[in-house]
Amino acid sequence: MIPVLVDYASPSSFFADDRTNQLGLSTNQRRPVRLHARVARSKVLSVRLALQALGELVWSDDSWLSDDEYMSIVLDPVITVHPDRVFFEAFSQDQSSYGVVVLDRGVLECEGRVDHGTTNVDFTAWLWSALGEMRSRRETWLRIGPEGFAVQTTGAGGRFEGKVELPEPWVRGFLQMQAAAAMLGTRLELRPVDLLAAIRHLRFSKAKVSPRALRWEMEPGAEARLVLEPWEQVIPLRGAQHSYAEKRSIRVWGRRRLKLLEPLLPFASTVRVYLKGRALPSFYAVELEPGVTFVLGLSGWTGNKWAQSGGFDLLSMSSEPDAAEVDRVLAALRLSFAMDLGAIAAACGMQRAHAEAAVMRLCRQGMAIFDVERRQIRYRELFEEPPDESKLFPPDARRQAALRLATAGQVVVSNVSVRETSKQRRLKTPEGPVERTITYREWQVDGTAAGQTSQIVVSDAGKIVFGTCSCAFFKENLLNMGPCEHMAALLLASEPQRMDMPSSVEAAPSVRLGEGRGGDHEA
Amino acid sequence: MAGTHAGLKEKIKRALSDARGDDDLLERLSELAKDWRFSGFTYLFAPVLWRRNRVRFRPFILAHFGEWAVDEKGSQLNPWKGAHASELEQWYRAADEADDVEVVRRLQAWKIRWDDAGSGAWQDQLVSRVERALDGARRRTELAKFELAQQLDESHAVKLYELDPSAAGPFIQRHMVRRLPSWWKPSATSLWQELRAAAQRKGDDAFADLVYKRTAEDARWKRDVLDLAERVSDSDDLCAGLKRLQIDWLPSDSGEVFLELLRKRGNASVPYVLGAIQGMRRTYYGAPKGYEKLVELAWERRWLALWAAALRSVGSPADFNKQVRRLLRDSVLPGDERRRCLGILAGVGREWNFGPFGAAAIPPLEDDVAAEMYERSPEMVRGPFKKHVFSGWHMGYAKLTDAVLRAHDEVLIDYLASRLVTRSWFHGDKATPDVVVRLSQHYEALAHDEREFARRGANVLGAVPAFAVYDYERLIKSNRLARVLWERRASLYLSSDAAIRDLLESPQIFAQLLAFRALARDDDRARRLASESLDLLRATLLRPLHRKTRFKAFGALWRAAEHDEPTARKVADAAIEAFALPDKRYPKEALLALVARIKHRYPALRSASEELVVYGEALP
Repeated sequence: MIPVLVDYASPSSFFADDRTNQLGLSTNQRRPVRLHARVARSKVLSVRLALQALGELVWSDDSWLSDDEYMSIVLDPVITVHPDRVFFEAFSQDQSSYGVVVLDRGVLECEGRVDHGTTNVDFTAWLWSALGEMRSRRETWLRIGPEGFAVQTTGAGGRFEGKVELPEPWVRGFLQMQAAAAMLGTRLELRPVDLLAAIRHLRFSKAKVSPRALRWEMEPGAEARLVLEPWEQVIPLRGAQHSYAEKRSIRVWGRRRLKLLEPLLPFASTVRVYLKGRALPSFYAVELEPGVTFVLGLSGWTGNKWAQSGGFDLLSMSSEPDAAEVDRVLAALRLSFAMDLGAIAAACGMQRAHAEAAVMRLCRQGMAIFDVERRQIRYRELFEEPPDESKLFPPDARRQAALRLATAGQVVVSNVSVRETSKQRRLKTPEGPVERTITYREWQVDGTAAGQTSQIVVSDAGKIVFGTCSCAFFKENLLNMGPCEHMAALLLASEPQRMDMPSSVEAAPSVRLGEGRGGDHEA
Repeated sequence: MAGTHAGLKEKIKRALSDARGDDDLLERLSELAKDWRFSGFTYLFAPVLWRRNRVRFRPFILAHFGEWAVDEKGSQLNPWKGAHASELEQWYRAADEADDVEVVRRLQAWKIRWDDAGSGAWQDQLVSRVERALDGARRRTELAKFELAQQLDESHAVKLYELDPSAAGPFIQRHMVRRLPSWWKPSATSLWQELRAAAQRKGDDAFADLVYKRTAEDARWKRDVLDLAERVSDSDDLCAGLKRLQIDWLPSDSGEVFLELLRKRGNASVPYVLGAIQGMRRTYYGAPKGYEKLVELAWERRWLALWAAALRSVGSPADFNKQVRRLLRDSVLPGDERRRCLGILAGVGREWNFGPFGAAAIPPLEDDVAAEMYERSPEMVRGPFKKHVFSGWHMGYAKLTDAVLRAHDEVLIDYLASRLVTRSWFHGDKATPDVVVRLSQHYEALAHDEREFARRGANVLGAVPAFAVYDYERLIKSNRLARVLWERRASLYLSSDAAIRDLLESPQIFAQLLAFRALARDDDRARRLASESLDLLRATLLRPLHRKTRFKAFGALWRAAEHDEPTARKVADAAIEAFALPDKRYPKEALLALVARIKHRYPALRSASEELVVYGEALP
């Protein structure tokens, strides 16, 4: 168990009279954060709906049968106040869904001092219910601070210091999510009604036999479409553009969890979907109003809890980052709050791969998160004290086995070949936009490990993006549970042969530039 | 023969021997698995399937695995002895070697059921395998294989902990004994001293505290608490130490322990007792021993937070009201101090949050006490004590209602009305129907000022929580206030823009329905308001609504469309999008009618294919 001390001076509360709504979110006094702000009147309803959806996510449990202990205690949502945004994060009870409500600071008109930082907020079923009394015509104040909202709670039976003991798998899941968000994938922009149609279809039709996947199909020259198995029910996604040059389909499971979005979609203006691959996590960003977004992250399938190891961290077997580098990256993030990987590498004067390793380490410690929409890393300290990593990430059997194979010389790398694709991009620089040809590289590595024949495709960032192996583990699970020990060993052994090369050159002047917009590969 | 156990067994055997390939076998077995008795023959089909192609058949085996076994006569059978034993043992070893945790776990559980040594053997095996494991990852895998519903004893727990504290700690936690409440099973446990000492030796205080919390016996806890109070002088250290001694389920005489602690250490122990008092539970037989004296002591020493917490959490509603009344009539305390004490006393006693379900125990204020408080300090009833009014069942608050009506206190009138407007059962409650009538007369009297009625009505209905109305028909028949606010005066709400908006945003569907009804009226105000509320009305096209409610929502949308062409375009576009929904009972014909009416009204919105084509008579 990971003990988390929370100390609320008073309960969070909601108070409304004829003219004002006052939402006082009591923060953990041990981690002071302060923000008093008036919510823009046109956004009040969206804020209410998003916070209610987050509450539903915290308590959601979509597992058929839980073979873990029933968790009656969950961590209250985590709130982070940054100069450019305020966001509330929560993780579901069944460890398979992650949600974040993002409020741009433009939505909030701040009053007085703002203390940036991260803390827990007291959020109970009572507060969730009281949010229903929030009305958009009234002036709405959001008060985040240790005192909650004084008017309602002065002397009215305060709370006491408490200790929440979080199971390690739950915390691990919360942190694993970051590794998943950082993966490259496919981005689609949908009409809310199309996603809602899928959710409703599932609500009215029970699939009693497998397969029960949600299949996203992208065909060249046509809009993307959604197929519900086993009925093969096609839901056309009007306006969902993609840039695949050949037919591609991505299957994900655990689709019933999408019902968490159902109350939001009738009020949403657009939905952006981020797919990371077959049976891999997916993210759904529901924009309710400009500046108010709810992002739902789902693991590849409900039983595949974020908490289970073996998935995402094994995809990258990069060496442990230097502690000094980690500290430098943390210092840079503390200063800027949000940066992309390139900016971190430049600011800290280190190679991109090193910066990425340091960032992943920070994510594992709960010190940073990956913003799936902006592809930025944000400074966010999940806990008052970083948790014990050895408890959270116990030795993984496959990782250990891979290391043993590599050390014992039982890995033979027979081929390392590079595959390149180029794209023209307009990049912003302080001197103005420049046009460059960006080269994306992947390495195909073939070889054997402990007598098993393996093949892996490794991304520029050193992650396994695809692979096959002749072993039983791969045959049983494909890549659904992450790579097998042989693939991981091959990744380790081929590291010296995968050389970093320049990633872009100046574009030829005659080339017509394509603007990167919704519905293409994330890069 | 087909319907008997013997027939089924024979068919399984035949499928296993005659199948042409894996696909054929799977198909035949899947057909046989429809019989509920199929999993009783797990010992017969599972080892064979596993040997044949474990990758292909593993999901099938897991889906039809049964920890029971029958023979061809339908009698219970121990498959781990006799003809099938060696095959099952072989399967177990193969799964174990392949580290198939799930399969090993199931086989373990099955085996233990038939093992005379039971959990003893399970523990011995577990320890010896963890001992043999080469590294941490291996040890974790072995522990995962033994993750069964079995309980560890202390000696095995100590051995496991000594072998690998980080891996075994969480495992032990899941499989160690749990304290039970003393009223249920006194002295069910005795402290696992050896394991606690082992954790302390390794500096794992959190685990040592957990062992104490789970296993310490009542007498031990009392002794340790009072002993710590003697030994530790610093107040912070004392409270921290006492918190570490916190156990699950406090004994029934914990009040006496707290009392003694408070007498011994006074202020220094108050922060601890304040937190721990939530663990004291009132039972059917009354408050725990020592509670009354604890409340008296807290009041004497002016530990007001502790006094209030004890009254709210452990005291009875009668105790609570007695204290409130005493404070209201107190002539010794200065006015400010009296109000401060009252303020501290108000609040939630206990709170339980189980995911989306929350329950809070709030001591209800009796009508007499509430009326007296309103007379002396009305701001207390409007403020901290508001939640104590109507927190109990069948309390009509006749006197308080009279008082607030006399004082024209609209905040409290609306609050009382919002609590009563959902009541449809009054059996055995003589006072409440009168209160309902008086309140309904109050709102009826407001009807001469439409805006005022709409504003106040929306205040009342907007405060009704979602799902608070169970049977609307019955409510309307039996509750006059509900009839006045919900049914009789829908058109009046059109006189207030704010009221309509409030009702539309209410989480209570009947409040929304009232707004839809008002907006669907043939009235220019309705057209304007519907147009201005389009952001909410448009969402009704996609929200799940009952048929009747949806028709009313369509009516409101039509009025919005009537307002002007740009609004009509938005409504038509949203309505066309809604055709994508596969909802079974969605009235698509009414939706089509809505679109058709809009396009008929505004020809400019028609696409080329929607233009009327009049075909003339064919020319000769």
